Amino acid sequence: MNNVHFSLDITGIFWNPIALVIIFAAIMILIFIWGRISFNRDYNEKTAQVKPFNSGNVEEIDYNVQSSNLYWGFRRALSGFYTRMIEYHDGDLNNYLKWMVIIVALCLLLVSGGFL
Amino acid sequence: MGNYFLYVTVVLLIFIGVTALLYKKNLIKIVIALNIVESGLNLFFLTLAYRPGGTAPIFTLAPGLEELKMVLPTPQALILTNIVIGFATSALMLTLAIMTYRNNKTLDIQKLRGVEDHD
Amino acid sequence: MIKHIPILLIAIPLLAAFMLPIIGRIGIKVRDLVVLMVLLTVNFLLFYIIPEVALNGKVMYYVVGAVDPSALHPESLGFPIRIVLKIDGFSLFMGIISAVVALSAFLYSQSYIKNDERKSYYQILLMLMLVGMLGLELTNDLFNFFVFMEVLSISCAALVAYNTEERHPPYAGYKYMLISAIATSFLLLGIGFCYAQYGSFNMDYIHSKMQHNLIDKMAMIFMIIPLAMKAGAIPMHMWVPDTYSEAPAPVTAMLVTASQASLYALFRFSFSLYGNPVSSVSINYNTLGWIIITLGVLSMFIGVTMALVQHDVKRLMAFHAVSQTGYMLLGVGVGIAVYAAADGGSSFNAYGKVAMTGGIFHIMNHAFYKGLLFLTSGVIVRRFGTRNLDKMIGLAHRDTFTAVAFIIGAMAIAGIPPFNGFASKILIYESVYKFSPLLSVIAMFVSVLTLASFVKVFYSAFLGPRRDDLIVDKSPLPFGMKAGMGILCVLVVLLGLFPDVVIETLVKPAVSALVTIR
Repeated sequence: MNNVHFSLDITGIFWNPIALVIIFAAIMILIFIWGRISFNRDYNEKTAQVKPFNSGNVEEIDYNVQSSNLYWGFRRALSGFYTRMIEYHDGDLNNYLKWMVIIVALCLLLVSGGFL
Repeated sequence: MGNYFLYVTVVLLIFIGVTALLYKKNLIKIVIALNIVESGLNLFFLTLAYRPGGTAPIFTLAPGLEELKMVLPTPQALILTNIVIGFATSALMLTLAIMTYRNNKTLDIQKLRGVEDHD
Repeated sequence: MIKHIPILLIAIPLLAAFMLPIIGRIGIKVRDLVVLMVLLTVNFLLFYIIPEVALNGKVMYYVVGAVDPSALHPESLGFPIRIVLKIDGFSLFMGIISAVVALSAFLYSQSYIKNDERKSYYQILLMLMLVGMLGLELTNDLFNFFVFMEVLSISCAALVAYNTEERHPPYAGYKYMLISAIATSFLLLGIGFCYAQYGSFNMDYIHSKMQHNLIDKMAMIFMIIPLAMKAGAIPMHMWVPDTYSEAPAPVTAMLVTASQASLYALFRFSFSLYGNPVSSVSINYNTLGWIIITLGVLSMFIGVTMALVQHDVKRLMAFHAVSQTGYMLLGVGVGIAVYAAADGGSSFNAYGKVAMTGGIFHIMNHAFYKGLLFLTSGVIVRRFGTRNLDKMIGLAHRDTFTAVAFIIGAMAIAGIPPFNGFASKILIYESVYKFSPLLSVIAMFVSVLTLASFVKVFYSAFLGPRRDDLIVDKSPLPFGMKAGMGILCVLVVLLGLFPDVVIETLVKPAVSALVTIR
């Protein structure tokens, strides 16, 4: 193990993880000390300021935005792709094996055609 | 010429087995189709090992060295192993099919989808 | 003694697996202690032969059943006649991954799986899974490979169906067994073609006599595509989410390693059977590389876009397993595509070898961080009683250890420094960019979507107000589960901070064991 060095040799970036961790820890300590000196809590506990805010509900609620609705824009944009893909993954065993037979047949066509 | 007949049988068996796997909906029929495929493979190895005019590959009471012609023994060992593996596989799959029937009251793979977690 | 290590690695867990029903009659603690000692012994033996096999480049052969286990060829015959085990760099690399993940999964399942009368069977099957994986990775004989692959498939399928009273696990076990049985049947067809051509099952002998004619190419297709199906490549991947979500959490961590054993076999057949052609006629490595690259890129993209819309936390992670397998296929596929390029090996030395290093290093990283993520998902499912992400909120208030472990796993899978995902992913990005820039751009986009879906899981399971009425299991986290997750956390962080130690020690010998021309 005589040529082991502790950095990844990729040109163009600085990657020495021990130095990065030491710099990160030093910055964290500096921020912690500065925060203790100059930050102060200016919110009132036990009022509505600590509850989650969901776009202006007036009554008190105790849940977040449902995680299925987080990426609705992405899903709506690719809706054609998703309806096709979801109907492939529905659990039908025959279709699972059909795909393997199709791929084997395609590759055998490539072999007999002289490409492989 | 006899060997070609056996190889055609192998291809037919594997073809029938794979077609039944792709188009049958009952869990037990899928296990039967898998057994047909494995039978085809066993026949393939058996046909590979055959040498026309050969005897069983046992040295005790074998004919003399001039007319000593034996079939290959290694694929026969593989066939025995494959039969045992096919037996264990079928036993496990049939047990799991029994449990599926007991929990879901159906053996039809179209009804057993059970995946309803996309919106 | 060191020359008997290849057979000891398979024999010790096998003996323990078959003695466990008798030892289990003595007591529960004795049984657990025996299994722990066996796993620690296997790990120790694998790490013990690192200096000899990986650093010195020596290949250990073991002829099973001979008087002298290192005598490969009997003097009178021209070809090997017994089953030969072989440990080279790549086998040792995969063996270490399997053994370490097995140890973490065992420590986790000590507390996760209830101690009823079926727990003995669970541990027997776990030992048999380890035997199957190690046997598959250490063997040099095609017939032996097929037998160990069946051992692995049967024990995995039985473990997937472990919770037999619920509705879905037995059917998931049936699906796994059917897919494995079809894959091994087609594999046996390919092995039969190879035997029919050359008369031996030994991989080294077939490699030295390989003629690359039409039947050999057909055999290669019959061997490689079913192995890709077992590893979870698109478009044969659909059994992966159904099966990984119904298994108990430590079993899923081991199933990831079992899929990677199939990936090992795929690379082993491409390089050690069909590589380094002695004649001028050979398979077209460019086409084979592009087939594997296409499977890899489709796996990456479709895996992660399907993972973004899942409601079920384990199904989401299973789709990510498919997607990360695409990275490994992409890396090694680029290596294969420039393997025998016409420029005399300069492009392979420039970026092909680095791509293969990245792809193979990604196997180790993926096993560790994906195992960690599945183990934390076990905690989440245990706490909330459901796998549905819409019904979970606020676990980080109670389980800080699990939240930290999940953050480490999620940042590792997204490729954020200083965790180990970054080290292998940047090797893949840099080298694939020189091959074809579009593939590298797709890989980076997939990495962004990976981070997005894990932010979704973290947001719904861990963040939010604390609601104790939704939590089903209020007991504190047992030590076994913490130990299992802790081992993998430490490995993820260490491999990210010191990637070059592992690359020089384990990955580069693995790549040079596979590639024998250059």
